Amino acid sequence: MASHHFLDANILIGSLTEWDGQHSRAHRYMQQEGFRRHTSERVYRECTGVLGRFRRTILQYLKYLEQNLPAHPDPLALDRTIDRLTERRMRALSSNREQSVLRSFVRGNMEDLRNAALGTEEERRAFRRDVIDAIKGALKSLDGDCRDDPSARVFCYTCCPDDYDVHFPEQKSSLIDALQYEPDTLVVLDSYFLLVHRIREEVCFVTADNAHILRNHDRIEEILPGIIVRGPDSFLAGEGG
Amino acid sequence: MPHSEVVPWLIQQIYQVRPDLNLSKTAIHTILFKVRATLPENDPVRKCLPFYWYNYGPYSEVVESSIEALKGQGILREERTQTGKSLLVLNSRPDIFCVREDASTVIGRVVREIDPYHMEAFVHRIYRDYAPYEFMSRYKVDFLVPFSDYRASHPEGQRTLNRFLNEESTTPDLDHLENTLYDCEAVLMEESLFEKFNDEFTAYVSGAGKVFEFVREDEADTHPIVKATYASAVDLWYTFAKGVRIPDRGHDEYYNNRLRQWEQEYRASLRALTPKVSEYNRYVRACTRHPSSREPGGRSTKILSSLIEGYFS
Repeated sequence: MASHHFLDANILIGSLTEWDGQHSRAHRYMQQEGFRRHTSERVYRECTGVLGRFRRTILQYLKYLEQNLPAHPDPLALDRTIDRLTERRMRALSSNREQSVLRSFVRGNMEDLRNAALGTEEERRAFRRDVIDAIKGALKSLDGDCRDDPSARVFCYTCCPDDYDVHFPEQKSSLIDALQYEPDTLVVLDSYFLLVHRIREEVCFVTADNAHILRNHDRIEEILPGIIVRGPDSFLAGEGG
Repeated sequence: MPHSEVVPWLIQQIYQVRPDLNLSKTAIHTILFKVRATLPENDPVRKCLPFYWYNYGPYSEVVESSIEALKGQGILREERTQTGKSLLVLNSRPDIFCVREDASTVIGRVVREIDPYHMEAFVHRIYRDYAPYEFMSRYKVDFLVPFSDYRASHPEGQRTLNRFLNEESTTPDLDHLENTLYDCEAVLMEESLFEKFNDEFTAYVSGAGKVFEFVREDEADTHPIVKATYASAVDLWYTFAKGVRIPDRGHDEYYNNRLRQWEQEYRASLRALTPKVSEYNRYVRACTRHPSSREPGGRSTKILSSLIEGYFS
């Protein structure tokens, strides 16, 4: 198997913290040694965009709670009130992903939300500050891991073109037909661009994206010779893949 | 009075009440916006004063052309202050027209309440009371203005002793600026028109957050990165201002025939903004290569875990 890995945004995001969810495999994959990991600035930007949107979604939600919770909420009915307001807020979010991020945030932090609602202004500010610090910490960790530097944990290349209409027009067109999603097409082409111009060896594209990429791995590997597409499970010893 | 004469008359009325006033164009637009907002719903003068929200607050093309006409007639004269600011003063006493009493009374009340030495405070009040989105007063008044003041009070080359102090916060002005920026993010507009703008704003907030952290460590030699952070903040505002006049709440019906052109201008401004914000963030990353060693606490780690779990589910 290739010793050069190109990481998709979901692997970088998943590896930012240890957590109990089923996708902790991204984190465990990053603990594995023996590969040289690469990515592109496009992927880095996608990660920072995702993290920023986490912050925005939660800050807007906390603001919404602040504006809609009664000044002195009934502690016995507070969970139900928060659930009701959360559902209402959820309906205002157009993206399914933002909805599930908010749902997971509320589920995972209900006690702190309840304490903030019943607490002082200072306690509410402290909770909000922790949300901001969570994202700051993640951005900092991402900046530390992904650098335009061969010695970095993940070598983040800034040389990939914005588009591939000039470099790989046929491959781009075939990939768009296969993946039906241009942003993922461009990321996959980044890995191929690096294979051709920088790495010059087989590259394994590592992703947890089943919807567009993993399920089309045969087609991608056919269009882009030298690229192998795998999920992080493939590298977890004794866990299949 | 013919419609075309109403607005020039209103402008002259301002000076009639306070002949000593030296007013910027923005101040005249804002005063007449306040007059319109104060007049009763059915007052016909309201229809003569169509506004939209733009770079410096409420703006009226009718007011703008009336100012130019009054300058052309020699009734108003433009004077430059020592700082290069352009102010309009009364050149000759206007003729006394047959006036509409309501409008005249309202102008008198509005103008008499103005403190000519603190016109900014009047403009800021208008943002707080009338801007179509909460984001506008938060960003323009609570963030951009104090940020500009911060820059003025921290000129290039200034050294502070902050890094030798151990107190919890030695940079309350920076803390306040950063918090205000997150307050702005919490009240971003929800309409799809602003979706792309919101993404650029959020990307900027992530970069600026790193800058505030970096500057807090040691304010020395951070002038260029603070300057870039302020310049990007202003770029964001001007792009937003091109968009805010498009929704119904951002303009009066009078301007409906301009919407297509405004939308084109807004889209072009967004396209130009994207590479600027990316460039800013690249610059921030290069400058803050060794960021603060402060680690997020246990609750922040739990929060991040819950967010990532939601992202994958």
